This record gives sequence, C-alpha cells and structure tokens, in this order.
Amino acid sequence: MMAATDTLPSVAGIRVVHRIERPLELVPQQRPDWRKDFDSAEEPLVIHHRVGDTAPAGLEPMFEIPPWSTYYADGSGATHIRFHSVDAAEPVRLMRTVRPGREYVVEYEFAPEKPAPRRGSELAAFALALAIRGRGLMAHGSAFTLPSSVGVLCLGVSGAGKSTLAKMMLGRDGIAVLNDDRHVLSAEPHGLHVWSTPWPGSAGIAFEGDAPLGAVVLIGRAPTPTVRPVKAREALGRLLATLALPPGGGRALDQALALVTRVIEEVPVVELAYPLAPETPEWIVEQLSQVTCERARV
Amino acid sequence: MNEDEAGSREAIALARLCSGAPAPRIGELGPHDWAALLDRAERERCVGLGWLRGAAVIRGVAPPEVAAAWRARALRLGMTAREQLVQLAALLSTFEESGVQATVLKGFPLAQRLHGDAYVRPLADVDLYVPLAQRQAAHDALLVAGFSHRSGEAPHEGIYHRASGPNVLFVEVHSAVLDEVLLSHLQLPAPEAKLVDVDGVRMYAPDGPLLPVFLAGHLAKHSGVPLLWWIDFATLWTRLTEADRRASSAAASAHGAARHLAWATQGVEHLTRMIEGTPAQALTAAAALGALHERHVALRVIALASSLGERVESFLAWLWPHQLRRSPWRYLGHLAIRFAQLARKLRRTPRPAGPPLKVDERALSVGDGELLELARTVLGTGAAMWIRARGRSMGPTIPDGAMVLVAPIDRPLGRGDVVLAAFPDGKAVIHRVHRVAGASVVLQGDAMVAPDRPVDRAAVVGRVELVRLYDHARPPRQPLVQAARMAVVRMRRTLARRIPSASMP
Repeated sequence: MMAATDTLPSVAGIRVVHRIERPLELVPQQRPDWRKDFDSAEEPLVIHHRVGDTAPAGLEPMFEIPPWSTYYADGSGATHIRFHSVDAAEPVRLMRTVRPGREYVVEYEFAPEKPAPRRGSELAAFALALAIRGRGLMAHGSAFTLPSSVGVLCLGVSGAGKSTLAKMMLGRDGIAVLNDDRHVLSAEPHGLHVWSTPWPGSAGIAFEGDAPLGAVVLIGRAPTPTVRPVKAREALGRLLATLALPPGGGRALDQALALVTRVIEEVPVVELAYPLAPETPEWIVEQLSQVTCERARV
Repeated sequence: MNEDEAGSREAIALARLCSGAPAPRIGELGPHDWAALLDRAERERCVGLGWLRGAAVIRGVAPPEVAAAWRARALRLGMTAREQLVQLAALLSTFEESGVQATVLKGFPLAQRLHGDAYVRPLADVDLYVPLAQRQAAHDALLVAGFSHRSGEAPHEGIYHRASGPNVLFVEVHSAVLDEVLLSHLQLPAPEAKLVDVDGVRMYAPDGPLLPVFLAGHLAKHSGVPLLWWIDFATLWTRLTEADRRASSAAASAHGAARHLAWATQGVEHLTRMIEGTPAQALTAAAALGALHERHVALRVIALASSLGERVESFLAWLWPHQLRRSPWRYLGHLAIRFAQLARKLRRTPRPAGPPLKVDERALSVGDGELLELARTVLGTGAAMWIRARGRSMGPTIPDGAMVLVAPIDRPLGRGDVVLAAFPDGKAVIHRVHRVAGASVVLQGDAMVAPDRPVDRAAVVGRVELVRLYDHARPPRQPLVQAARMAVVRMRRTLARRIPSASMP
C-alpha cells in the first residue's frame, strides 16, 4: 500500500511524522509555514493513518469526552481513543497505541470524499506523547511574551476569551503573541517553560516561539478591570481542567501532577477580569509586568 | 507489680516472640496484656518481626481479636513496605541512569539479611548513603523521580519525599554514615558496599567489618531506640564469626568508635539474657538494656568519645550545630525558639506537688464512644491529646497508625482544617473540613473521592494540629500533589459515568 509521508518539524522538541495510506487524504489544519526545527535527540512521534477497523473490541472504556471521543485502555494499560463521528460525512476513527508515546495508528471507518481533518488525532497523539515521555503537558490556552521576555500562559475553557485576548495583544510594542489556543508547558533545566505549537485557535495565531514561564492567567470577564491572586487549591482545579493529562495512572500521571504542582508553587497564578475596552491591553501588560517582577524580587 | 516491672515483662515477651520462642517461654499474659503487647510491638517496631517469628504462638495463645489485629497490622506493614520498595526501585534506576551509586543503609537489605524477609522492618524513611561528589547528581535525580526536597543540603543530610497513592516515602540522603553532629568527630568511612538482590531489585547494601560499627554508632546517637534496632544489632553480632568480630573491633578502634561498639555489645548480652535467662535474670537484663538509653543522648555520646578532645568537640557540636554556624542570627533565633518552647511547656504543665508524675506512654485502647467522651473531657480543660489514627481515608496526610495531636478549637473552623468529629452512627472520625455551611459542617477524607454527610458543628470535637509518624511531626496539610490526584480521580469518575453501559464491549 502506498503511503505519503508528511513531517511536522519540532513541536517543543518532538517531530511529528504522519504516514498516510491511500486512498486517505488528510488536511493538515496547522500553520503551513511551521518549519521551526530543533536539534533534539527525541525520537519522532509517528502516526499512521489508514482505512481499517474502528470497533473497540477487547478494549476497556475509561471515560468519555462528549461529543468528541471516548478513551479506552487495553490489558497493558496503553491508551486507545475512539473519535466519534459528528456528521455522517465524517468517518469514525480509532487511534490505537503501537508503542506508547512513540507510535500510533489511526484507523478510519471509510475514506471520506473530501480530505479529512487530521487535527483531532494529531493533537491527541501529540498530547499523549508529551505526557507519556514526561516531556511536558499540552495546555489549552493562549500565550504571549511580555517586554521582559517572560511568557504568560492564559488559560480558559472554550469561549473564555483566549483568542480575543490574543487578538487584543497582537501587534503591541514589546509583546509577541505565540498562539491563541494550544501550548506546551514543560520543565526545562532552567525552569518552567511555555512553547507555542503549530495548531492555532479561532484567531488563527500560531507563531513559532517559546519563553520561560512568568505567570499563569485565568481569564475572567468584568465591567471594571480587576486582578486577583489565585490560591493554590483553586488554581489547581482551574489548571487541571485545561491541561491534557495522561489518561492512565502510573508514572506518567505522577510526572504530570508534579509538573502541575510545580507550576502552582513556582509561578504566580492570577485571575484577570476585564471589559473589552481600548485601554485594556495596556492595563493587562502593566499588571502582568508587575506580577512577574514581584515574583522575581522574591 | 510496679509499672517498670510490667514494662520489662512486656519487653521480655516481645523479645522472646521475635526470637521464635515457644508459647511457654512468652510468659503468662492475660487478654489485656496481649492487647498492650501489640501496642508495645507497634512502638518497638516489632509488629512484623513478631508475626514472622511468633505467628503460631500469637494464634495459639493470644485472644482471637488481638491475633486478628496483629495479623492485619503485619500484613498492612508488608504491603506498605512492598509499595515503598517499588518507589525505591524507580528511584534507584533513576540514580543508575544519572551515574549515582547509592547505598541503602539499613532498610530492606538489612531486613532481608538479618530476618530473611525484606518487608518485616517498618520504614519511616529510606536512608541512602551517597558520596559527597555525587550529591548534586543525586538531588537532580530525586527531583526527576518525582521527589520533593524538604530540607537539608550537602554535605549534611537532605530529606526528600514523594507521595504515591496513599503512601509517602521519605528519603534521607547522607554523605556521612553517622549523620549526627554529636558524632562528627568519628569520621566513620562508609562501610563497603555489596550489590544485593531484594525481591528482584538490585541495590547496594553496607557490608564488611564497618557494618556493626555503623549500627552501634546508630544505636548510640538515638534517644528512643525501638527494641527492633537492638534485635537487629544482636542478630548481626551473634551471627558473626569470632574472626569477623575481631575485624570489626579493630575497625572500630581505628576510627575512634571502640567504646561505641563495646557499649552496643553490652546491649547484645542484655538482650540475650532477656530471651534465654531465668525470669529473674531476664528482668534484670531488661532493666539493664533500658538503662543503656536512660542518659540524655548528648551525655551518652560525649561519655563514649575516646578522648577529652573528642568529648569537647562533641559537646561543642551539640551546643552549636554546624547547620547554624554560618549565621549567628539563625543561631540566636534557634535559641530563642528553644527557650520559647521551654517556656510554653512550663506554663502549660505546672510542676505537680508531691512526687513527680510518671508519664505512662502506653496507648489506651478504647472504643469510639469512650474516645469521644475522653477527648471532650480532655480538650474541655484546654489541653491537647495524642490519638492514634486508624484507617486510610486521610492518607497520605495521616497514614494508618500515625499519632495525631488533637487540640481544642480556638478559632472558627474553616475549609482545610482537619478535625476529630462524632458521626451520627457514633463513630469517631478524623477528616478534613470540606465546607462549613451555617450550623453544619461537611467533612471529607483526603483519600476519599466524595465528601461525608453533613454533621452538626457541635459534633466537631477538636482540631488536629500535628501528625507524627515515628520521628516526623508535621501539620496535617494535604500535599498539593495529592489534592491534584484526587481532583483527577473525581474528574474521571464524572467522565466515566457518561459512558452508557450498553456501549461496553
């Protein structure tokens, strides 16, 4: 069977290689110019795509994230994900683990007439690879760097205003917006770090870049601008809701939770609530510069 | 029979049980004595060894409920130790990848070597010897392996901990085998390290002539030594050949520890007489073994030093701990805290008139109803009391069997407080306040996924201020990482409920 290969150069140090068997055709849905390469010894993540069997026979269901997917585990504890079909033209897909964190195969119910999106399985496989390898965690949030070059990760569930915030900050002096939807959070030798990914959100922003993590912002909406430091236990709940944790238990979950608690213990977590007004971006930069400075002084 | 004699009889019975003595040698014990013996075994860390060597006797002679409780505690101990070994194995492999060679002092390899069962000694922590040059690499590897750094830096001991499920493993990293200011003059080199296999986990364990010297120094530097440690040392010493003993004595002399070793071998003689002697000899020997630890640890160690110079050095080290030598301000702060603690202690417990009270440390075993009544009475006088917590619902904050200090409630209850409460079914429960809603309080165990039913504010008897497990006492703060784990479990349960059962393959 002929297979086309498409490689996504380094995302937070991991290359993603797609091997797509005919007659499947897939749409990348990523930034086409994402060419950031990274001299890394990390083994690439390989995802095979082919038409095949999507019945989760012999797999134990773990949990469901409606309407998108159901997570399964096999006897060895490896994760398998079944992506549901939202409309009839879209095939059901079953992503099976070949080598945990390294190689996955996505089987499609049928080859759709129009090229199928690969974003769902690509994001899921990448998030799994990050977590299982202990490389980091995928965060659902927008991020930008402040004039002091530290990165600010703004978290929120869908509709919280991540993309709106990213658009507001775009093009401001000294501010570099990284991405409006997905980031990688990792612990590097020098400290916590945030990396952009090639997968943008509704604002379509996905620039190559990364920065040391200076603060985590929880986005709120209020008629007057307010900034509130968030206590550890509250921060925990909010962070867990927006990070892609490894689905099983064991070492991967231990590492993931150690990273989450480290973020809370080492980086200020604040809730910013603001109206959508012209002076808001300036106020945000001012507040966050202060928060990250205070941290540096301590 | 006075208190001392009763205590000695308990120690004798326990020592004999741990040596595999037959039932008639254990002595006449009533049902209450057996319950007290189990508590004593817990304090002396002998529950596992007592069961390993004496299960048949306990089953045959002890009341069935004590035998069942003993077995349950021994099994739980074994399970906890197995979980700790898994955690240690992961750490050792991370060490190996980082080029760190750690020697497991005491712990699993010692239990396996002396008692033939790696899981029989309860571990408050795992003591690792890591050469000074590898301490930074070891620190990094510990963090990689998911441990948090609690305190201490090279060259002194470093303490790390890691929670795994309901268990917390403490790891102490030493670059001096006798990591103790009072013994800093000894400069005992690390015993030779031998690669051993503990249930499939390969680790380095101390061996050679310095091992008995190290264990003797270890016995000397502690104030409250559990009987198990004496049994450990005696088992090792009596199994050595005459030539090995001479080699150990020579090694001890070479490093200024001859008197420490001689002191410890006296303990072996006492213990042997406790196990093998006539009733009168055993009682005398038990008192003599107790007397070896009667003196304040500083006085004992100073007296054991081999020269006047070493005694002075040891005294100065005690007076002015090296950790505080760099900063006189910290030292003054340390003194101020010591004095404040002393003053508070003096204020709280006025010296009684007449002969001083002898504190009976024996655990009082009571039912839940009595416990609550007792707690209400004691806390009502403004005093605090230690209670042994049972169960795993508050793990790892309060491990099963840990002691907790319950104090009167002197400020409004808030979320996160850990309290002792009377449940409507009469049970005494120690759980964390989940929320306070008017006159009722909702509690939840740290290891529980769901909160308890609300109870009346009046049902809350006291607040837990400290948790003590062996030598570690700390406030009952739930580790953030455990809160995270519980949150994940709750989240997943909610998501799992959405899977219709019909779709189950």
